[in-house]
Amino acid sequence: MSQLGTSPTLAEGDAAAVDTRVREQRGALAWLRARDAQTLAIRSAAVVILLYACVAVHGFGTVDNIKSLLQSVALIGIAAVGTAFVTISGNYFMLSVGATTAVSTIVFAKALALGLPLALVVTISAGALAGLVQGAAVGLLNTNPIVTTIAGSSLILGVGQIVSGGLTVNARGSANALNSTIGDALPVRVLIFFGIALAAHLLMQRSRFGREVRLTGSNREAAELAGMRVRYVIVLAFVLAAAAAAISGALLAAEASQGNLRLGATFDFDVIAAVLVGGVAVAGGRGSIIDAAFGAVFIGMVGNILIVSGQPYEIQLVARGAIVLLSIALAALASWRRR
Amino acid sequence: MTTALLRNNRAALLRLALLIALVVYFSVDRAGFLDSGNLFSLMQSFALLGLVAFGLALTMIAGEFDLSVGAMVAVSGIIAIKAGGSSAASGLAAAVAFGLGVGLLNGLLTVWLKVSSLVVTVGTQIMLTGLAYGLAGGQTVSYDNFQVANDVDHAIATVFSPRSLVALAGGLLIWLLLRYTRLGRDIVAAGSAREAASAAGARTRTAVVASFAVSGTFAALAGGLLAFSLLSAAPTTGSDLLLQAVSAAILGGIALSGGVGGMTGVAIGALTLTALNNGLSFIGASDAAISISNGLLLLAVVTISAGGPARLLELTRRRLPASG
Repeated sequence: MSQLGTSPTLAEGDAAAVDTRVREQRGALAWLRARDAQTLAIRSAAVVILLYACVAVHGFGTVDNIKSLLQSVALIGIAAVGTAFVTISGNYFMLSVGATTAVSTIVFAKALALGLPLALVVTISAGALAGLVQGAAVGLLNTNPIVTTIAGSSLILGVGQIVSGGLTVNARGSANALNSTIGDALPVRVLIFFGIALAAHLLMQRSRFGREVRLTGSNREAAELAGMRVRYVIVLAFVLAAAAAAISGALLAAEASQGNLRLGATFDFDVIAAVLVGGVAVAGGRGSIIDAAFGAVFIGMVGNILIVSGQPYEIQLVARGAIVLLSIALAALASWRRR
Repeated sequence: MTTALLRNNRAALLRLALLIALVVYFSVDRAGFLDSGNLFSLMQSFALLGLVAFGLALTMIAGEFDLSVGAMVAVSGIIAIKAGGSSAASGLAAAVAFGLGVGLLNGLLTVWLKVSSLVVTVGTQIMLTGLAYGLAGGQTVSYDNFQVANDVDHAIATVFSPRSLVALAGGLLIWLLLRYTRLGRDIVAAGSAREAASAAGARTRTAVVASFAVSGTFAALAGGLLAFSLLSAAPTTGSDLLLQAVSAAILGGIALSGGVGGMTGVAIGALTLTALNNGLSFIGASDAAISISNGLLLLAVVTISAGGPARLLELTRRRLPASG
């Protein structure tokens, strides 16, 4: 910070963003103070809805249902945690998350013949490579991230069609380890989701890379002047996001025991919804990784309550859209208050 | 001034040259590419892509971005059929009114909340997709008014149809708007130097709202007409439309930073993309090849428009002494 303080181009708002990060690390009260109105509103809403559903919605508050709720949001959650790096670095979203997930189901199904560990390595590497190409375009060549990832999506799907021949690929080999449940209560994929969310959160809050991602997002010029590795940071953010999407794809393929380009088709906007509802600021620099994971759980919870109380699937989609628009409005109001 | 003019014209000539090169390539490769039948089907694809691209391009000129056009095409097709039970005209009117309403909402939320229109329209995109599934019950909705397919698709002057003429008229309308009206100038001003233009008295907020209203209306019109042409509509329609519309706009010289470009460029961009896709499937290329060539084309265009090649040179030049 002292480094930055000497930089004449640093605006006041950016210094505030840096302060927020420092405050976020200390104590519960400080944590509360550092939260945006939007994050607080969503969190209070979550608690109220959770309590209401436990009492009033028959069949919600059971261990089995909570388990299936977490299981249903785990994959979106993993991809959202990865995307949060891109968002916080100031590059909006990756519109190729859905394509990466879909093609990863095919890669995983094909590679499973090599055994589960190797199949995971292959799938994650392929995803990371896709992220590397898009990140290099955005970070090194300064292309627009939205358009670049739209193009990336088309390229990735094209490659996926070549690999799969446009057909469903049946997995040869066993990926049961990914579908199992530990001690009858904790599904492996939920454990993976929690593990990735925690690791990503620590990376964001405690590492030099994390601080650089945040500063790149809040003021790229200032970060560059302060000698930060802005280009490298952006490339790595895209690599992490794509690798996370690939992990989701692997888990999806393990569940379906096949790879298919239609799997994960809705992931693009599911993930963006999670990131937005969680309160990761799209202007970059603000929000934490856990926020994105929380957004995924919140949307999943509302959807689950609607399902358990017998509403059709379509109502769930409309409700999700409404939640997203509402959180956008709340986020905007919160950012006015900060100014 | 003169050099700038020259540069602009050179870009326009390059765009035209790309289109002509594609057409020449495909017509040499396969006899029949320039047959009236294929030109008709080319214009039919243009009817959908052109209309959507014109609207999206207008929001880009205003310095904004409408991510919701794909979902709008899907939901408006469903609305046109659902509301068109008694007469197709009232169905189309309902769809267009809906598009106008959502477009206004996009614009108003963007200027009221002072947030990036990317975020607002990603929200409406999610909402519209939900609505599309809700209205259609997750299924394909079909239309039994067979007459209407002929009404919108019958050939006029061999290669045109009412549908493609509507698209061309839409482009002409925005061209006139940009060239001859104060609103049009305000839209360009909002995209090039919003603060300065606002201070100088340009109604930039109105301009932004208007650009989204046009974009929503055009996407809805395209979706409604497409549903009539296919006699069916599905929530998944238009999923790859965003890619193509953005490609058409950027290929047509619309800058992502706003304030730059015009509708003739977008029309050429849309025609180029239509010719590419039509030509590729005409010579029997696979879906994979079409998907990859679309992606590569957009990636190349966005890299070039971001000054990528020059930057690449600069990066390698800076790298070389360091590593050597």
